[in-house]
Amino acid sequence: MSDAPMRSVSSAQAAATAKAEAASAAGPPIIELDALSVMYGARLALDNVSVRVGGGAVGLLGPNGAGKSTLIKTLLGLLHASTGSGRVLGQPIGARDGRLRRRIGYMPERDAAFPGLTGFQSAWYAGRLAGMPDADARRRAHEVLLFAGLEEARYRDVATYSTGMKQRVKLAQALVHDPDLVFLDEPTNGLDPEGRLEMLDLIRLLAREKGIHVVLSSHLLRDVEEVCNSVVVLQGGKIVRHETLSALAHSSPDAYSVRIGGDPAAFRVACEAAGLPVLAEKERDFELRVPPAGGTAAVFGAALAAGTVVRMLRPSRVSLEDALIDVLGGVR
Amino acid sequence: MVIHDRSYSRWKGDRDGSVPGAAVILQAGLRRGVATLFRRKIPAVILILLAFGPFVFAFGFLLVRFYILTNIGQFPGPASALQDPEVAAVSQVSAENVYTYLFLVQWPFVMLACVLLGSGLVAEDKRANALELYLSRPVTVRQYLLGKLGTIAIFIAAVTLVPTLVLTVEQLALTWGDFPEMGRLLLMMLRTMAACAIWIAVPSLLIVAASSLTAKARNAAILWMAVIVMLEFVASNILLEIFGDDRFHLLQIGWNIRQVGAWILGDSSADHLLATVPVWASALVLACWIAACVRIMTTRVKPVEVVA
Repeated sequence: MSDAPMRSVSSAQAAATAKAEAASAAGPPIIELDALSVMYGARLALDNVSVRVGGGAVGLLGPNGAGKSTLIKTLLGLLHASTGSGRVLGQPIGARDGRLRRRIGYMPERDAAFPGLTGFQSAWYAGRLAGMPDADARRRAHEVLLFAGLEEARYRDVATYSTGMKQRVKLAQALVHDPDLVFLDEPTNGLDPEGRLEMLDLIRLLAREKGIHVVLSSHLLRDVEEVCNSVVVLQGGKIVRHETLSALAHSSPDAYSVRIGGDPAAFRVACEAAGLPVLAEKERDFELRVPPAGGTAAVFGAALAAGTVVRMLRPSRVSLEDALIDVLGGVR
Repeated sequence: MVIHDRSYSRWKGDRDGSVPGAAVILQAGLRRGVATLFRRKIPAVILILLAFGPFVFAFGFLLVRFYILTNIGQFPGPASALQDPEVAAVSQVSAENVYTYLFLVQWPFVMLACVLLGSGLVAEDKRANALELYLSRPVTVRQYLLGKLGTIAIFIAAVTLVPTLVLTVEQLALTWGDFPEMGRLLLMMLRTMAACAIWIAVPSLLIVAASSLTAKARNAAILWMAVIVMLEFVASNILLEIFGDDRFHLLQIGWNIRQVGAWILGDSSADHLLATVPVWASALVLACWIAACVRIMTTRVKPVEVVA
């Protein structure tokens, strides 16, 4: 397997990236849905969904069966809306003239390949099907395969590829025609840890430095956390939350993480006596709710009373996982 | 020093032109078909020799006959033999010969083309989940199916229409100046194309429809053969024997094609075919088969399989 793109970025690059991200997120919405419902057989897979999603890297989160893949397929025009309407990149979804599909790329969740073709032929064919001239499709096929790290394997039949290589060739097919928006459905499925990191690097590079909008559907929160700047949370065919990642995985204003030295049982008793509810406890690590009025002095007071010392005290950060559990739990 | 930019670059080409989806699929299908055929080289060469043997023989025979008849002085014996009406009838492009060549000599190769090259056209795409890839691009179901149908149609045309037209053009060249004969041959070319349209369209539609019903090329081939064999040889013959009613011929797809083909070519030697049931009835049966195939294909070729 080939080298992944460099992971470390300089501070100048990081600043440029942040600027590009802010610009893409502030631009016109890439997805606009208005009361969209989709029936999947007899089941209502998307229920009256309305949302405006800005550009950049957007994560689609939700448990299995929440409607993530259905939403992507509807946006691609592969499934038809029962009611409602939507626009992608300003154009109506399901339009028959193909103009929209020339601007979007799609990496499906399951194994998908043009049968009997090599990696190069697959990417070239995908480019031709997207309307590229033959010479351009050939040149771009080589480029995207190189980008995806398949230069050495590009003349081998895709059927002989490993799972990771199949994921890479799917990414190459999705990118060969240089889309403005790419839908990636579980792109790290079946990848080993190193392959997963490499895939996320490629996606991050597209979203942050190449100006390609990315919609990343995943049930792996870490993937979304590492790549996306906003998330759409789906549950039971409905959008239950849509906001930036930083807002969702917010800092809780009154929760603190505390690590002590000394007897944890005595510290617990002292905290309860001082009116500091213990939210969680693991050995000498505590999660405390600290009333804003008294401030953190109460924590030190409790430690003093228990004959312990405070080794670490910081505001407690709610992880994306916790936030998602809160969101989905609240909906249930 | 960076000698090659490994990073992603943007493409600045035209994004507004029309996409010739069917043509791209057809081109890829032909390449794949040839590759499939030549996967085993010796059987492929034998098959091609058998498929084009009669054509090559007829092509050569027309040239030799022309040479001998224009040089009677040098070949008096062979020339008189070639002038025999029976020999002359066998060696010219006539409705009877074209019918025999298209529908009786070449039919095994039409069958083989369908089984070997047509059965996997859609089935293999389904098996590899490629329909999602095709239809998420600016390619419609109609373009996809046209590309697939075009692929098998070209392979069938290569063993039926193309050799027949080449022989007709050859005879046209050899009879240059004989305007009544040239007129007859031009009309024969048109009739050949019309007859071949049926002979190519129906098997192509049947095999692509069968291929769209399953995700395995082998199953599609078995299904297609079963339908043809059951209707052609078993059901109709048993029913014909029991009831003695010619209308049971209508169950035979091949028989319907031959009858309509003979009618289009104006082949008087096939009067026994034309005398059994009206041609319009056979044409109607074929139209029903075509409609059924189109219906199957358009309902079975979908980017997403929705399981109710």
